[in-house]
Amino acid sequence: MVTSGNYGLLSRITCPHCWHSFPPAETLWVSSHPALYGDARLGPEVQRRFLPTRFDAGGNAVDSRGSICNDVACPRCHLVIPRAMFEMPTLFYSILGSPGSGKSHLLACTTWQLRQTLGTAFKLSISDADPDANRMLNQFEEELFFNDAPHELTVLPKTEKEGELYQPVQYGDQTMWYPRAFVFCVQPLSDHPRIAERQRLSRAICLYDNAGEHFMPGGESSISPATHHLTVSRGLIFLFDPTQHSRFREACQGRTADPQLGSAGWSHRQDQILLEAANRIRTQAGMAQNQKYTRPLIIAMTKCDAWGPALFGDEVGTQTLIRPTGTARFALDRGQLEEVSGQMRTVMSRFAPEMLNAAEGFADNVSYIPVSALGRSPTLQQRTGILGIRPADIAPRWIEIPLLYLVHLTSRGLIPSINNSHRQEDNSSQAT
Amino acid sequence: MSYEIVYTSARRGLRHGSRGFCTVAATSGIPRVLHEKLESLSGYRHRGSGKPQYSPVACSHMIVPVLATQYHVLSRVADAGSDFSGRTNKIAHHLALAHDELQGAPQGPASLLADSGFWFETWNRKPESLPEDRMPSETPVTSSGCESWAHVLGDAGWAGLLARSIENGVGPVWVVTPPETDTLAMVHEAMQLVRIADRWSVCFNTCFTRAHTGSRCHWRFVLEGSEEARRLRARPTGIMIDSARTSHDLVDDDPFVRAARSGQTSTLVSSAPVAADDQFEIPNPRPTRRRRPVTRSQLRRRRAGARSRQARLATTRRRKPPIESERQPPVARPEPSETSGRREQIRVRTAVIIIIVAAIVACLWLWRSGRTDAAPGIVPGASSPRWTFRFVHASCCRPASAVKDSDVRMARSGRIVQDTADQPDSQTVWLVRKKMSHEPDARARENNTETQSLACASNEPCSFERPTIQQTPHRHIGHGRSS
Repeated sequence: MVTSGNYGLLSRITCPHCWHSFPPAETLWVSSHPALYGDARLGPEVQRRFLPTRFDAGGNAVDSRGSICNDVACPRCHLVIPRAMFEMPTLFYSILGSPGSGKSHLLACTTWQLRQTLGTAFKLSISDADPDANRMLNQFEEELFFNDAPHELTVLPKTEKEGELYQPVQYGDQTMWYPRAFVFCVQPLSDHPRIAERQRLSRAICLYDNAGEHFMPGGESSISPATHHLTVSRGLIFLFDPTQHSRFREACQGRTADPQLGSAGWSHRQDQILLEAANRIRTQAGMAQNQKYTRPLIIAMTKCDAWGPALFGDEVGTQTLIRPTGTARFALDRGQLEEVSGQMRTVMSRFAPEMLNAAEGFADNVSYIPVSALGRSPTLQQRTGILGIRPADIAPRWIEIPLLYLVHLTSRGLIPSINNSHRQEDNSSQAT
Repeated sequence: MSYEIVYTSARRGLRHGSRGFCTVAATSGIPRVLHEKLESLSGYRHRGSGKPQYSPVACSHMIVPVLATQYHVLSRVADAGSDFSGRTNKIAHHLALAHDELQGAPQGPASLLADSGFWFETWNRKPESLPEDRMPSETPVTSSGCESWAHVLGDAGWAGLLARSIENGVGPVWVVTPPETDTLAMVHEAMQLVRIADRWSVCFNTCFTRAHTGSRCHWRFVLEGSEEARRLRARPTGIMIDSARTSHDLVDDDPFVRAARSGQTSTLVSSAPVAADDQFEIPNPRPTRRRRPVTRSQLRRRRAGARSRQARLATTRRRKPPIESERQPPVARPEPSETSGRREQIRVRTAVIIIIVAAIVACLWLWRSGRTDAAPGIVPGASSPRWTFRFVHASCCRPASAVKDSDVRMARSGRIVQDTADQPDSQTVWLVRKKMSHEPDARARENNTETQSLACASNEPCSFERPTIQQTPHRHIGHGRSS
């Protein structure tokens, strides 16, 4: 990766809000003096953005009133960018799926599980690049895993197409709504075997929590380019929810008590979501219509605790996929993962061939992984009609595996893998 | 014309194929830009994650510019229980009024928002288009004075501070209210203290979460214990009214405070010049810009400019033949009219000459470009006789462009480059030279054509066939390719 100067800055930075790519020299700074309010793009109630001419000894800009500034912003949208994105290469990943497929739950549980797993197993630290920007996600994590009343039902609110997950930016008379990005820093811990390469291995991971409605045909409006991250993302995680598929529902009928497969459930054409995403990626990235997506596509088959036992028994999502290696580190059992993927592909070809067709018609590298964010069925609140979960009962299954596998496939050296047959650590993951 | 939309999570939306959060009802013919704008104002924050907690209703009035039109948008966004997927739901109902429709509601936006029969609180119907003439009716204040303020904050006089802020045009006023407060009633009461002419210029939100760029919000009610209240207390901006602590003290002599406490708002409102005659006039949303004061130096420059303009005008007037008695003595300088006429003629002649020359050059250029296929056709510097030449592939006789520059230079100078015309191959290009002359026997020489072969500069071999009559050059798409 090309860096500039002695500060380890990248030569180009991609804004996580508007996806504008720019050199660090064009970066705007956010003034910190209380008198400097008002910005042309963000309105009168935010601190002014400016191109600095004065810096202090630490390299921080000095605003026109002499205050030292700390925050930096995109020259196009003027929204604040985490400083980590200037120093670490950023991995954008897109999570997409139909409404109600469990994107918010997957995101909250994945980040929580990664905070547990990455340090102990992979000797990597994960931290919020901007805790204020990640506030919503942290609230979700607290709601599910740090709840004061673990035996009472709780729910995560349905993700909206507008509101707090989006940030308005004014371009003349036009207001654009950009999705809020969740950025995390992943870097080797001191006992990592390749700690000497810390700067080279460190990565910023950028994720988004879109509403499912955004991915539906016609769901993206001209003032809300909420899914443009599909173009810059290094890999896709598509959430396929079998409880929303009529043939899966039919197969599980009478064999499970999950309310999502009963009267509280509903069906949805999920292949249309993937086809729409494929169309947007091809259009926005300038790909030919017959050209295949070369980056990895992971089909995360959500809510496997609901449909898995009815179709396979209880073993789905319970095997260990992160195994110890000869060294102090653990590794992803790629052989077993591919075996599971093969099994799931067979299931998909039987119950949802249209989904299989859409996925493999779009991408070259498709994997199928069953996951469950909560690990057990939700409970229907009779008073409100809302499906809730007791935090004490939450036991995620393989929820972090799709993201770990994606990082393994797209970033060299961070997540090692072993092959099940000869248990040999494989660090030479293919970077796309 | 008024437009409205109802936005909630439903199995099927008004637009074909939409579901989940989508518009379920809208006025037919609503502009798409306005529709998208109204949808973007539908954000709502659920409190308590499904636990039995207070869910506030966000009633707001905003002035929103959409395509050079300013709309007064009245919104009601509230919790709506659960949707078809068993998850939290909300319902947002927006009404956009153009400026000329405000005449029917002189009491202001709060009185329209108080009409509970108009605003949808749930949507259990199929998607539908709404009729164009729907309008909420004005609802008068039920309490006498500012009872809600007295009940919530202990002093009704705080309502006067809101009205004072509008009168003085000072920054936003924040009101931190405990849960279960009827904040719309508080707005409605405070609005009675504002002049009728100003009521539609007051923007407010009874459950404020964020400022929208491009629109103002003067009165902001935030919920006690919310993120906004925490941030506001950490870094207050504008005026803050809080039951715990306030950043401003009430001035007892303030007429607004007195009126709020006494409940006699009529004296306050009638003091306004417009309201005295009970006339209602909506302020223009685009007020005329106030001129900046003029400095003395600017004034001096303007006066000097005016003097010079007057002098010029006087000169122009003198062009008319003056009266004999007023004729000035002759001066050595020629009459301005003759000079200008001569200059005018010169200008016209120059322009005509330029146009003719340009036309000739253009004709020559067109003739040249039409004559040559691949290379310049006229040998430079040659007066008589002249040679025209063009390059063709030896194989197919189609025009060749990939010829070495050195060969072109040699060809122009008239020297033979290479004599391989007898053995053409794929790399051979023929130079066809045709002698032209202005001499009397030019016609006889025109047929005197010489052929000279050159090497093609392109690396791609020319896949050729023996030239035949049927194989015309234009059948080839590009160099090295045959159709």
